[in-house]
Amino acid sequence: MKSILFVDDENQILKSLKRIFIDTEYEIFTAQTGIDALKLLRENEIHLVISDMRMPVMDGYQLLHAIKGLYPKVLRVILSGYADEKVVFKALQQNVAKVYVFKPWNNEKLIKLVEQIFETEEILATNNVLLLINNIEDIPTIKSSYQRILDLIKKEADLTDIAIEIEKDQSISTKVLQVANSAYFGMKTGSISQAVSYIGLKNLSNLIMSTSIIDSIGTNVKTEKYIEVIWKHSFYTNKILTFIYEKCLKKKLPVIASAAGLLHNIGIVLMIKNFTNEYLKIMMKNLSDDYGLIKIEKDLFKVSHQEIGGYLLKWWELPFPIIEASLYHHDPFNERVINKDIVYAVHIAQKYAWDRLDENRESLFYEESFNEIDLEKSFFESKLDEDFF
Amino acid sequence: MSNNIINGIGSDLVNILIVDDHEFNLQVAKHYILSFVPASDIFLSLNPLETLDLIEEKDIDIVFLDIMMPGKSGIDVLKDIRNEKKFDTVQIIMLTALTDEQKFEMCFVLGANDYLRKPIESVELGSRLKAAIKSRENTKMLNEMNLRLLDQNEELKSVNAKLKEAQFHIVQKEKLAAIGELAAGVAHEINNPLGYVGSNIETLFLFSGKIKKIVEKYKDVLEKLRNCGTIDEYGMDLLENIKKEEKKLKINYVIDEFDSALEDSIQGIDRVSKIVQTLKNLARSGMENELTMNDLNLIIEEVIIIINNEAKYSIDIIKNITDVKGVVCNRGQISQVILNIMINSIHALKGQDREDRGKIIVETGEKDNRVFVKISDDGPGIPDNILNRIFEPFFTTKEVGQGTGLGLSISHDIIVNKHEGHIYVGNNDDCGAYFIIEFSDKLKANDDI
Repeated sequence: MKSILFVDDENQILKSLKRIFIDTEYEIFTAQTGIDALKLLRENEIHLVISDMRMPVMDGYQLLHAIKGLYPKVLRVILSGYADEKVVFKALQQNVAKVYVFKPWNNEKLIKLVEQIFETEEILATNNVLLLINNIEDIPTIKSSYQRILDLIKKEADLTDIAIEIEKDQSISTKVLQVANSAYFGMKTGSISQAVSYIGLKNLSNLIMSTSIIDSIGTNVKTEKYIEVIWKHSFYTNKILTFIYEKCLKKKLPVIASAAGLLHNIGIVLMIKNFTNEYLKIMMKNLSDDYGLIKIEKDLFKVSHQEIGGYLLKWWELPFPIIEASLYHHDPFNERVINKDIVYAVHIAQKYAWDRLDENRESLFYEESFNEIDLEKSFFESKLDEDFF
Repeated sequence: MSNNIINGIGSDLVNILIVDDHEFNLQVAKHYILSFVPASDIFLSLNPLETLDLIEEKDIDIVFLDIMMPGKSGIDVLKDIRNEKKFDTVQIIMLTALTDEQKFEMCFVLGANDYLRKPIESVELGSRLKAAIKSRENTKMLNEMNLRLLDQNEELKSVNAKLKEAQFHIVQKEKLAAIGELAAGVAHEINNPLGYVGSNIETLFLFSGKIKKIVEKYKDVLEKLRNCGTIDEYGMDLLENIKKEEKKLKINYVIDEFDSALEDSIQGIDRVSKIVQTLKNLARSGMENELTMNDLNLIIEEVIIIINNEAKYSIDIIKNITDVKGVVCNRGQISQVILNIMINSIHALKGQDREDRGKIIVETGEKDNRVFVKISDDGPGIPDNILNRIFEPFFTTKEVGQGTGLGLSISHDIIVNKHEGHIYVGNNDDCGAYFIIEFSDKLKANDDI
């Protein structure tokens, strides 16, 4: 049985939350302070903590941060009436919480959300995924030179200092620029400081992270050709994703998801890298058939590239919407998806990116995705032809 | 002699005109003058009628003017010169053989600066000339300083006006920021109780279903007991009592109304949540320089939620909105501008004492690639004579204490200066006024989030 711990300094909130779950199987714990919450975590097996943000003595951010360090496997969600965008962003970007729910909440949606979180977690923690991961010899890690830059961003250092740190390493700055120019719509710049100011400091974290991941997965003569195609497709996908949001939906792509397109196919890259011969064989055979590819992946490796990608992104602590984009980009109508809009948009973007790269490809595509994000297909297509390529 | 030489005005030549009907007098005067002021241009004239033209043409500084001349007397020429404002600084020295006190006095009254007796004497001429040059120099300097003072005064006036305007803008902005902060704090405080009240009502809905279900079961069981025929008298009494009690408590009605009451409450909570959310969005104006991509139609919806209460009893707000592209703007500030225009409109309509309901039409669209919003009403309109003053700071038609007269000037500042857009005002052909805000398509978002 799964257990949930609610933390809120208002007792009425805790009581009402407890009532919601009377018909469910979850075991519910409640705590009115961060200290009490930590004590309960010490003494009980708790799977999910849902905490308020503003609390006396130890606030929600501090509490969840502490839990992240002490019990990294415990899932974390924020439930708060406090909606300062900077705070929300910080909590999600630094993976202190998976999801940020605003008060007042809706009971049914909250129950659903809890289910979704547990289910997605289950996919990521199945034995099959773990087995495969154990078979991967070296899981790419983030190079220390990138880590220094990420630390600076985390500390919210001055923009120029960050730009200087990036420029220190010629190869890093070249790669960062390359990724930025090819993956963000409307971008065309030759200098790091320009790039930084164009995509924004907050986007930078995801950009550097993505670049470091791309950089860390090397290629060899045999794989180079294929991996390059995958990255090219990923760049296109991210570009179309920002295009969908900015030009069609007239919204800013949420910063925490700004690299969703870039990293959605990381699973395939990893598979090619580590199981070169076997994987290339099935990939070549199913080059224009996503559904077939996923099926054979499942048969042969017990997991699909979506899941392996999701697992790795979680392991690198990327924000939850990016993980979801990897996990569900071929399956956007999956019940488990929390950040639905982003997954629909990535689903659309990756299809049109393939279309541009390979006209003969018939990818698995759910056209209803357009409706879900209030986008007219014909409008999108004509705008794409007109503005994009 | 050399120590008697008088320097000219600054480094310029001194231009001197001598008017006398005797050639001899002219030559004597010229001779003496040149010995005192070598750096001078001397013009001689026998004809008093051409004096004014000469002063003008030669840019004369000092005039020696004979009084007794045929054709026109020196006094008349003096009058003519002093009638011309532009010759104010010209020094006039009367040349005279007269000893008539009255004439002297008249000359001074008419604006002569000095006199010189004939026949001309060297020492006297020297000292008069010296005084005249000095005087001329002083007058010139004074005039210059005067002009400069006037300039500076104008400058100060405009700076002062700007400062006053800026000060009011700052005060107004601070007020808004304070209100914003307060609203954000209140919104957060409200969201907590709103959270559990809403949640509890939803839960009660669920619980009421459970209770209803079991009550039905109880009733069913009681009915079956009553009809099974094995209950004794005591048992039947109990059954009868419970039926009476049920009627007395109006249980059927209670059960029917229970859900309905909860449904209404849920709707109420939804409305409160929406208002709080809107307030929070409006309150974000604290970030003054933030520019983000926004859906103008959404901003309008929110403003209408806020003003709905002001309008709903006597005014219909008609939305005529079309799907427009995103607008880069400061969301809080644009909300304020639209709010402000609509509130003005509501006040105008309410002040009209009319029988029918007033009308405000909000229209959005795109023209020449630029997004616009037009707000018009069927109220009294704006008098033509104040149409062009309406965006001036402190201009108000409301009674003292009713409005600061700053709303529209701040709106103008927000749209024109902060958003590089345009704001137009005018009257409709039939009745009422309209405002059009046109957004720039050149602004870039500067937010990180």
